[in-house]
Amino acid sequence: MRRTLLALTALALVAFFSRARSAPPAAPHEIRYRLAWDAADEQAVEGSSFVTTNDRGYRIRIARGYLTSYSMELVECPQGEALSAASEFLWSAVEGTAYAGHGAGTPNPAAVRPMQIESLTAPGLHEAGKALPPPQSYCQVHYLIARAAAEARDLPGDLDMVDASLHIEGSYTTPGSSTEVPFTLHTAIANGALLDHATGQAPIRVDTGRAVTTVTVRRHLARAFDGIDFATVPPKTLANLVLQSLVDHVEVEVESVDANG
Amino acid sequence: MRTGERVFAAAIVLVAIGLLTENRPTSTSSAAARDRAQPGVRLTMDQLHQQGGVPLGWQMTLPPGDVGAGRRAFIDLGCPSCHAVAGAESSGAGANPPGPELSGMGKHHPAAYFAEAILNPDAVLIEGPGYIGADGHSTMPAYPELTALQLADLVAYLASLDRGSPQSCHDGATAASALTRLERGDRPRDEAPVPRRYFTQSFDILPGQLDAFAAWFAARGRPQFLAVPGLESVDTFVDATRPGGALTTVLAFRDEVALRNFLGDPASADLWREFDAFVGPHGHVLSDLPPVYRVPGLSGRRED
Repeated sequence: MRRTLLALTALALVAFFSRARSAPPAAPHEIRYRLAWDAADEQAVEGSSFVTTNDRGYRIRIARGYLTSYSMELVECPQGEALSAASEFLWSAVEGTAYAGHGAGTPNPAAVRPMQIESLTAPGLHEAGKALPPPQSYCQVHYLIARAAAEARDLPGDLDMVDASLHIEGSYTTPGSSTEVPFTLHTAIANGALLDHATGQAPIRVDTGRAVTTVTVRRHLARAFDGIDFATVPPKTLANLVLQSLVDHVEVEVESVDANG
Repeated sequence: MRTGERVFAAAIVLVAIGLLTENRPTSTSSAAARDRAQPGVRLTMDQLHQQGGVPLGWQMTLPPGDVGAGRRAFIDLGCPSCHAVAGAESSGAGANPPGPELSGMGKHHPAAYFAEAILNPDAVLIEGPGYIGADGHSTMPAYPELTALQLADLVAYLASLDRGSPQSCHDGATAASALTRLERGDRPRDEAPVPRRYFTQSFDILPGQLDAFAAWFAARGRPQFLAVPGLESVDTFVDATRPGGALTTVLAFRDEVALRNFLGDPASADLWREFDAFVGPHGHVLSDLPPVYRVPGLSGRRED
């Protein structure tokens, strides 16, 4: 019996190595995630405040503000989906079902959960983390704003952001007026963006087994107040509207460098 | 599959069979020492036939297993080389074991599901890296040499793993998010005016917990679900005709991003933890279609 086992094992090893020589398998490659703001946002800082004017003519000053960027992940391409403009048609022609059993508790290896607290009065670039997923094709990016936990990155010293997704203290000035009206937002509500096209309208396609990829999620803080009429919006819904506007103006940039040069 | 791969796979199978035959794990529990299963439902043959050949709500029941013997079988069979179990004494899994972590699994699946996953790993293929091999089959090997007693013991052990889960099964921020697409084929369309995304959970309420569950849902569950941005409705149905959990709760989301935001939000995980405290093992389905809908073309009313 042992001779038979040895012979079979040797046979298996020969087969394995001959296969390995003939077709080098795709290998895991790093995905780097970054959080960024629009270039105009960085220029909108006046002293220690962020100042912008929204599309309704309100001038908004953020005196203190923080945002919790909770997680970022590449989302797998649907199985068998043709990567073309026909994808939306295909989506309407088939149904999607995911049986969440073992899978529901399985971490997405392409996800990072930085829980990065970002200052809204000093918007800048943050390295949000790295992932090393096995070879896989991805077609979307999901960015989620959600409440921070105690282990969140860069928790501010001047405000308790644990359990908060967004905090803003500031003021607005109605068009034609010079009176600054103070307001404060503080919420734990989550909201996010799911993007299948990168900036420039190119469809997202990341093959992690073939390239090193950098995913940059870029927000537009100056547009976070667009559509908001401060004079009429109920204070309770203001945070929801700002979050929604923030995620409505998210863009994603994907840079892949062929790992084989 | 290439010839080399076929030879490799065949050789590995033969080697595995040989190893299992030479070093077959032995259970220290004898069948005679085990508790017999509690007698189940009693009915006449006529009643059985009237109910469609199986009792209403029937599902296969395994004989009771021995948790300790199952733990030993788990180790003897080499399961720890692929599956981590938090707090397990002997785990051969490295930093990134290829199989799913089994900590806390007992809370999430019924015993029959564990048995099927061991006996026939291809029966349910989970989408996501590490579950399905390049050949389209489950990466979990089959164990045809297992005895019924070993199977019962293994299942008892897996069902006992109700603690130490590093992640709630509803903690979807990092959930494998692949969506299997099935051709609609001959399935009738629903008549919903606007496409939705559905998250469905089927379950049974733990014995004696119905009133407490209803009170919790009225006071906390419903308002918290309906406060979720993009969650448009939550409905619970009872289906007494099928095996397994008779209750099904369906969350309808405005769109894909609303569903993903919900699954990723840590507040949702908190909400599900409260929900799950009232229910037994359960499964979830994500879909484009509601799990149940009426098809007018295949239905009728006297007034039609």
